[in-house]
Amino acid sequence: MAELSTFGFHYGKSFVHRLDVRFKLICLVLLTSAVMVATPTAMMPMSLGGILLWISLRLPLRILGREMLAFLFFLLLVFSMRALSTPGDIWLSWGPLTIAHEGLQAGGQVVWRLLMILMLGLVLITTTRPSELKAAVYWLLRPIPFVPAHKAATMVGLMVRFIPVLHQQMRETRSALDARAGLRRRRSWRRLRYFMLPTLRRIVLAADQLSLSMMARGYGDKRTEPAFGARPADGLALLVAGVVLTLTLVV
Amino acid sequence: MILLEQVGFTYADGAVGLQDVSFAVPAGELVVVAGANGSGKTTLLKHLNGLLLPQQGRVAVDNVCTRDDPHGVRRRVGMVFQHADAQIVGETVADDVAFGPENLLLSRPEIEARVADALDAVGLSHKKHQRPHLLSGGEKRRLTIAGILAMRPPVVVFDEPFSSLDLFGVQQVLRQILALKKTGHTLLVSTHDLDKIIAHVDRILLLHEGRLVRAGQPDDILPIVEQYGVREPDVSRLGMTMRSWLN
Repeated sequence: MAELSTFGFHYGKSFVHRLDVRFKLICLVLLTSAVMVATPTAMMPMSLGGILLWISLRLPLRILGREMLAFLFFLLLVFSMRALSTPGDIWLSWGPLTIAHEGLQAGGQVVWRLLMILMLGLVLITTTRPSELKAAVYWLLRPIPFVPAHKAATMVGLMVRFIPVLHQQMRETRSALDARAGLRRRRSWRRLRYFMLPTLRRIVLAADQLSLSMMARGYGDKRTEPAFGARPADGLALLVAGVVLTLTLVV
Repeated sequence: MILLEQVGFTYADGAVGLQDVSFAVPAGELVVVAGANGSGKTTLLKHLNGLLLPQQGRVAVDNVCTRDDPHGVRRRVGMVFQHADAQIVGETVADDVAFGPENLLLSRPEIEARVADALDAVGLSHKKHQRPHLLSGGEKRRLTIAGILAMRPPVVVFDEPFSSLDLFGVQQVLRQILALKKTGHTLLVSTHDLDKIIAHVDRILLLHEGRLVRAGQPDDILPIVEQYGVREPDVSRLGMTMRSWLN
């Protein structure tokens, strides 16, 4: 009895949980746009708002921490690239590598924005069932000509469903290796052979098993989709997201 | 009624799954498919659900042929997989049970009613909002059964339903199987561990290397099962009266 992955839907009765998924998606787009254009001064109240939003979900903070940690390498990489490639007053010089004060500032800002976007994405994922997300994506894309709305929505739904499977398989392979001290090997090709290849094989097998069991229960293109129902609270959420974007554009 | 006529199936790597398998199971029977590992039990069950289609012969459930209408057959035959984790697709216990009825295009109120009934039947109503991966092994197996019950198929097949379960887990699953039998379901249970279910079985199908080597009443089949890699239950070996694992 172990928690295999914290990523994914967590049942709850918070304000965000109860929002219509279509409104949630539009709010996510508006707030993400606001984060992209916000100045560092504007980012401060927005970050505070983001943390309060997460607290309002009444979900453990460790979920946020664990998922953010998973992106640590990527965030460090982005920070380093920005820090090393932005010119300005030199802060540190080491051979051909130089880091400017402006680089540190630019790297910090990019990572801050990415963390905010990750948090907003997690708010959506943890409060929305994949089936609801799929139905909302379909609803939003359906009026756009030449866009295969059904396929795109199915892909989004499956992707969200499969991410915990990937996490689970990676953790299980890592545990199997740890049990035999496998990851203490330093040579990268050995790590590749003993971690990546078995993990890939496990992921393919798990995906195969999952699709087989879905088929066994009659899964197909036509299903009873979740019912939508907009309430005044959905309009309020949309209004707030719109105001946040407007303010960040104006300030 | 389940009918298999000279069914043959060979996997892409050349391994023989089934060879010339024929039998019929009347409605309401509880049949055990016994055999050693690799004898073709899972391959056979997958044919009943239309997940595999026979390369030779035919499989029909209530006169619906799997080759002609695999979706129709899946409405009639529910399959509980060996590994419960592989069968769980929902984000919460209730979502997982609703998955099958949603595929049947039922209305939302009907789905909710079926989910409530199915969870009640397996005693998981109090955990309906929980994440399925946090359930115990026995609870996960009961959840997979609830997922099938909600589709209300007349036939349910179980692939190694007792594997990796402790005594209480086995008893919980066995209770579900017997409750289904009581309500007139046709049941096929694959296992190489006959001890746990033998007291309740109507018939045994014995598989070996993809062939159906014997089919009949437990008393006729049990004395020969060890020739085919299946342990004879102690009660049979010692000539004792069959005793349920629920007692």
